[in-house]
Amino acid sequence: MIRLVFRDLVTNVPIWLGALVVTAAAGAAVSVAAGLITSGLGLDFVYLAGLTTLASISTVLTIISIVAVLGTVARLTVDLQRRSYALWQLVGVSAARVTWIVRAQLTIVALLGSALGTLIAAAFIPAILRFGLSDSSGLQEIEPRTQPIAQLIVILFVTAVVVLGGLKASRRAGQVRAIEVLRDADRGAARMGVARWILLALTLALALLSTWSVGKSAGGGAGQLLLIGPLYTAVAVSAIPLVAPPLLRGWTKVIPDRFSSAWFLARNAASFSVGRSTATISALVVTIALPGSFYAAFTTNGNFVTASTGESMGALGPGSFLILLGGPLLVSLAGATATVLMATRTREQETALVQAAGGGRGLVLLRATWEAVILVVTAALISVGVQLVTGVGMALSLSRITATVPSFGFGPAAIAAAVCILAVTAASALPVASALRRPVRAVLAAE
Amino acid sequence: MQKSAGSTDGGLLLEAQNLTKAYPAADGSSVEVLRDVSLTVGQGEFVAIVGPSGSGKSTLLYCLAGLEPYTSGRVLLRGRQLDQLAPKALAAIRRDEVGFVFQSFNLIPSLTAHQNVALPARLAHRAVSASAVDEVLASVGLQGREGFRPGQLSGGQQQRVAIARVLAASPSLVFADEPTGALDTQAGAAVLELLRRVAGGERSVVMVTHDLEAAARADRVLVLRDGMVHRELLRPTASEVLEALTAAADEASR
Ligand SMILES: Nc1ncnc2c1ncn2[C@@H]1O[C@H](COP(=O)(O)OP(=O)(O)OP(=O)(O)O)[C@@H](O)[C@H]1O
Ligand SMILES: [Mg+2]
Repeated sequence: MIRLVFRDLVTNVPIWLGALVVTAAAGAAVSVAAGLITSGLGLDFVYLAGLTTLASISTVLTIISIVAVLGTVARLTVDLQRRSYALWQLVGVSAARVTWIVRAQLTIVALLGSALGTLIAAAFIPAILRFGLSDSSGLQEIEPRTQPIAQLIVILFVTAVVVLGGLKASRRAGQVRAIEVLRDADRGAARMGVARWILLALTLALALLSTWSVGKSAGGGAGQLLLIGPLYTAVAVSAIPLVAPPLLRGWTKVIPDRFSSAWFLARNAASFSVGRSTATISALVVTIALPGSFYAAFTTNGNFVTASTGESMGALGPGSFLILLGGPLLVSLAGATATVLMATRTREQETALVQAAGGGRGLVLLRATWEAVILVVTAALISVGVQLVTGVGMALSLSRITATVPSFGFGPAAIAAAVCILAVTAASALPVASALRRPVRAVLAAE
Repeated sequence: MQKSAGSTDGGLLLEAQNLTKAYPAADGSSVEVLRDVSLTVGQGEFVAIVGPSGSGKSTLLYCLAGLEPYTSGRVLLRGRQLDQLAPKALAAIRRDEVGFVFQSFNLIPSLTAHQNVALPARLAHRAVSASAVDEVLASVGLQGREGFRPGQLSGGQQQRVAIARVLAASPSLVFADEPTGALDTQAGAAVLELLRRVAGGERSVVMVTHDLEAAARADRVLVLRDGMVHRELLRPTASEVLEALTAAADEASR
């Protein structure tokens, strides 16, 4: 059995790479947070408390990002291997065993990934912390320090989060029926399960409550302020199976299919994949909406401070941004890119078919590019919704004290969307470009 | 309707001359999969390629179709040599003159049956009416399934969509690699009948098959062995094909 666990992992490396990259990003992100705490150990309590607050906010955001991204990545990992699981069952591996094997594999990948991420991050932590604390008041002089024991804790912590996040996906692997060996059965649409509805209700209630309480008294909790944007982002991510497919189909209709064959193919491929797996779009929404809504809340609060006291509250510096949002964004961007890469096989096969039908290289590359653009624009549209709700909600709540104009953080969101377009287009188009150099038969036949 | 049995009387469509194909082997040497294959396909002809497993049938088909580069020799389609064509010209040939039915992975999973059938026309910027596509789908027995995606169709139905795609595009040359390989006898017979209908007039079909009955429907059968054309049979019966195949297998095992 142990042999099966490892052999299968090795043969399916490209598929597992997604989970590996996401856990590596998570390991790196959390170890930066751990670096904040270890640097504060032995210092005055004020310093330690300040650093711990920063560390805990960044860890919470990273966990939100991991949970939003990892569950769907694990599910995609399992879905891409359904045929193997069906084959295992045919040769007599029980369903419970399949689940167990997938859990073992996920644990191995999570350990490897988080260790890798932690190791790589270790080299950069001093520089990151120095830069990150440079624009915070009072914490600039702190000497960054890392400790091996803290790194070990980070590795175990991230592994635990990842394995827990993948529990449901691994159960799915056990539910594959042996008949699926015969053909690539429709895996069924990504739907809103009970758990998702509960999550949606919970995050929505929390988000509304926090928004409302911001305007209860002047100078309300700053920590709460930082969490409002992420909470609305979490609301959007929980509702993605409900929102993303119709939204994507709707807005892409604006450009008619006869505009170009590449567009036609990309639009259908994107719509099809979003209907089946929300992995990429969830990760993209986190990447764009998190900084967007974060700034929306922060700047709207700034407007309030200016309106009520006449003083400016100052902007959020790049250092603080890196410390607070760098980790979660690293995780979600890695998730978006990795999931696009994981679906390379499908894209290559389609490339070969389109070539056989007489589509040229330009068409094939353009199709891969459009697909990436369509995904990112859809995520950006969802993000705009999140930012509008965050900004307007905060402004309404704060206006109970002093009339406040909303801000929406469109600038940071636009930058994030641009980065997403670059990363996802590369992940979509580069493998296709390399497939174009191989004979059509080889691409078509490869399993 | 005149069937030119590989003769050059005006109707020569495809010609292979001294075709060889070698794949690099694991130890750095190379394995010859096709050796000195020469053949012709006339206009309107239905040619079947049979042979033991691993004899190079699929490789030959893909080389003829320009989907796999060959090592030496040449393939001429209407007199144009495939390996000397620019990618653009090759794409144009695939768009306008050639159609494919692969053994599997024929269809784009995100497109409906209707969209898959209309794809070649769309790529070639040819106008094709929706009702014409529906008609072709109906002619392969798939009325009512136009909006289904490949994942919702059975293997045989997917294969028939691929044939409908060929029928709708009406290329002058159709390549099919074991189009009935994954089908039961009845579904296979239906698919063959459709292919048989494709061939004739201006259109030719080159089909790789394991199925003796299928081969017996062809105008000409090429028996491949160890990458060489071992025999060529004209309008053979199924038992004649079997005989030739057995002979090829016997000699191969010696
Ligand atoms: N990409 C490749 N690299 C190396 N060898 C290959 C490759 N593709 C095919 N071959 C070899 O070429 C030979 C012929 O393969 P081909 O697929 O043409 O056989 P076939 O006659 O179609 O067999 P079957 O009836 O089983 O489909 C085989 O021995 C195979 O191992
Ligand atoms: Mg073959």
